[in-house]
Amino acid sequence: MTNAIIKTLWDSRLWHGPAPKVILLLAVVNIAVLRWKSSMVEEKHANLTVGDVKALNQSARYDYTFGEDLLASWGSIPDATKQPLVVLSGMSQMYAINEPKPGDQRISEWLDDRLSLRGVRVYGLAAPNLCNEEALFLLLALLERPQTTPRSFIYGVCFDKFRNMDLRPGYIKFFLANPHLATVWKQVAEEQGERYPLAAEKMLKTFHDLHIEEDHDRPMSGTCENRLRDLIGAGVPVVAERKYLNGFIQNRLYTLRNSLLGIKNTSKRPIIRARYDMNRQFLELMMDISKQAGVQFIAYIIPLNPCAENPYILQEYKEFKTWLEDLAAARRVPFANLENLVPTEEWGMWMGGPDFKHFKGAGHRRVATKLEEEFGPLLTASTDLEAAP
Amino acid sequence: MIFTSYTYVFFLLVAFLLYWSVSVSWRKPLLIVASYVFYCSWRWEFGFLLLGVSLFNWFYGRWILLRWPSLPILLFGVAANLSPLIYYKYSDFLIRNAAAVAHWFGSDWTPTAMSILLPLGISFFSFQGIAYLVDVATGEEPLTQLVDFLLFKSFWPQLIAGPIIRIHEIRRQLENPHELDYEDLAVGCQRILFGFFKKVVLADNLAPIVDMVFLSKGAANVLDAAVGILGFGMQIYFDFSAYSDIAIGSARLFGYRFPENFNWPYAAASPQEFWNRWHMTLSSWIRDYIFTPLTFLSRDRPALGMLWLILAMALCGLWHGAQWTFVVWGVWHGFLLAANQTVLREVFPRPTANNSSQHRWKLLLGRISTFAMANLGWVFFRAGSLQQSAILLTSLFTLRGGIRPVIVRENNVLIVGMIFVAMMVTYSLHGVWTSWTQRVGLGYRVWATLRPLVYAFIILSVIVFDQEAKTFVYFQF
Repeated sequence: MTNAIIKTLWDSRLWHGPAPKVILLLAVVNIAVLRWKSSMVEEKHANLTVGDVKALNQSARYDYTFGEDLLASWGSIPDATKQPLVVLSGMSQMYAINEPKPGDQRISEWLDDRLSLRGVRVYGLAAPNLCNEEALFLLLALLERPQTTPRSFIYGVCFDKFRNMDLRPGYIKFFLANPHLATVWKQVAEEQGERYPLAAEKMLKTFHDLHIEEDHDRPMSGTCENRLRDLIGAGVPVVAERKYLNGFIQNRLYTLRNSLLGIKNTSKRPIIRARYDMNRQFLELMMDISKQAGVQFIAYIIPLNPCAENPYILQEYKEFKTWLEDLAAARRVPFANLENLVPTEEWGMWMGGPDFKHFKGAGHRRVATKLEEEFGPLLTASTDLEAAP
Repeated sequence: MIFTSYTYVFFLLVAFLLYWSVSVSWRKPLLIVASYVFYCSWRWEFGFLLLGVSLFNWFYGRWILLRWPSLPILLFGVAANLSPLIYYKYSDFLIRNAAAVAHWFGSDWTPTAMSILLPLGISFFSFQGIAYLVDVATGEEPLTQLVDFLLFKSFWPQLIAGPIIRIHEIRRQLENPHELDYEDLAVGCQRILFGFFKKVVLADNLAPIVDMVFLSKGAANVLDAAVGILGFGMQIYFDFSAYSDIAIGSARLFGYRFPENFNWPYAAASPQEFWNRWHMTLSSWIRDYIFTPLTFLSRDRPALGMLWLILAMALCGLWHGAQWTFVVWGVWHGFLLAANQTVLREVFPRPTANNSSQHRWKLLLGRISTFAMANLGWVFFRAGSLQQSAILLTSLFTLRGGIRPVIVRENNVLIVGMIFVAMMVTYSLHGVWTSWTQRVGLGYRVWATLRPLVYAFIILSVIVFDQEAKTFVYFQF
């Protein structure tokens, strides 16, 4: 280092200014984060799995990362060229087990146990608050290769997920690692623009956002930026744990918002019309794409806790169910309304009240049994699709 | 390389250490190389464009314009600077509009989209080149040393999104070597830190709320529209002023002082004052190189002044993007400025030492109305089309759809509202706070104690909220 830098380092203003104190404070925070890291991880896993930390195994019959790292779990999808594959997709109800007990399994696992006896494998692809744009993304990703192309795609439709949009970081990572998928995504958006304008516009925006990121990353940052973050993260716990910390803060803000505004799990929340319409188009698009690809699309309305008050406005929910039923009939998509399937005793508690959406192990088994009853012959029979009107 | 990325921080650190470690004669070449590395990290091919434009302007200013100063020679130089900008940025727009006109006359000409990739910062370095040639033609000494000129054109903090530096603002700094100073280091780091906070914590968190409103077609009601528009007004301010903060701070680390680009624009009490506080280097560029020459040319017909004002602002809008929405945004501001000087002259307060209660009321009303009008203008700036702008404005003014939001949620309304209130409170208190903390006494001691906590908080917020480095809004211009 030359005189200029050394001279500045010896400047008394530097040592009497805020810089040393800031460094000291950051060191203290880093030590604290290091100590809290394990409890933060546990809390996060608990949030994802509704208390079932031990269930975070890698039994590989479902996306064990819950959408956090699809690239890592993708390889565990059974090879569809060796035996027919059924994919069960949806939101957290698919994998979250309330008040878990040893031996409990998820819907996809129960279904796999039963159908594998008849030569069909079942795999769960679910993530918290999965929206229809993400479900479409999963469907298109599955169709990319024969090894992952399912015979049937069962989608558990959840009314309040029609308010969500955007792909989560774990899916974006997968997207960026599969440029061909991005091309297909854009192609679908361009082809379907007239029929599904809202969905197509959103798909193009998603593509555009990813494309910009790629452009600005090229040719250095894509790898350089990530490596640098990892490198700094190795020595600075706050950087390494920034996502956990972010989640922690967001969670606290969410709780604060709820308490300030008096929002409860059961507070009535009207649908967001623009998003609702967009998600409806995404669902219709999924049906079209499945049909084109020779994949049997199956939809069912997810069970809700009959004794828990839900946050839906009755009239809106009723309209949604009618719309979905009519849509399935018009498209000849196998459909079931499992809304009242799971009895009260098979639901647990969540945040101090009856959980209206996540059931216990028995509920998972019951849903799997019902799905087999309703759609079993379709899932195990040949995949010839009836011609739509 | 995005300013708010780890790569940039690393790049800046390495450049800083190298710059102050090498001998004085190597410092400028080092900064030029670093600037080209920065620029080429996006697409190396466009480095040649930047180099070509730089060499042309240096040669033209020093060897052509100086020897044969005449209007045609100057106009040729200006056209040469404009040609890459027109090709890369406006070809598609011009062809599309030509086709629309041709259709109108019955032609069935349908041109295919050209899909030309826009080089980063081309709008900025083209304007800088034009300003340089005009300044030389009007008596400014050209830079004699090529190394000085290359640095003037390519110095990375101002290369992508300004501030638009003019030769008289930096000549002395380029020609006289400077030494590393603690003051420069402290102020530079502080500006960079504030810039990171504005971008990562504020602008990037407003973006999804704004996107929600502007993405949905036709469903927004009055509250959605208001939240989207107000949110975008704040997003673009935080985003762009963050870029300027980081640019000014980065340059300061190397001993260069850039002009300010923002000065609390939303506190302006008239449209004219707004443009003296918002994107100051662009507004002075528009004034000096478009409006003033046009006014001078028609000095016998002062009534044309207002027309030139609107035209200059329309061009300012077009500079922001090759879309009619930007032109309408510019025209909107042109009309506001024209009204400010004519029909609404008595409505907006004039700069005066008058402290009467009547003046204070006028000031407050001026601020509220200027803020409202500037934000209404953002509708055109952000909307994807004129049709969408019309839908949002209709929702806003007709209360269509009731007042319960249908696109954003109540908590998003709260977030936007809270950031807005925080911004207003910060502005209201910053004068008092500055004078309180700069006086030796209790205020100074309190601030000295709080400052490390505030800086540590900002650093931690930036780390935690930065999930990925997002591009700056102004990168697209």
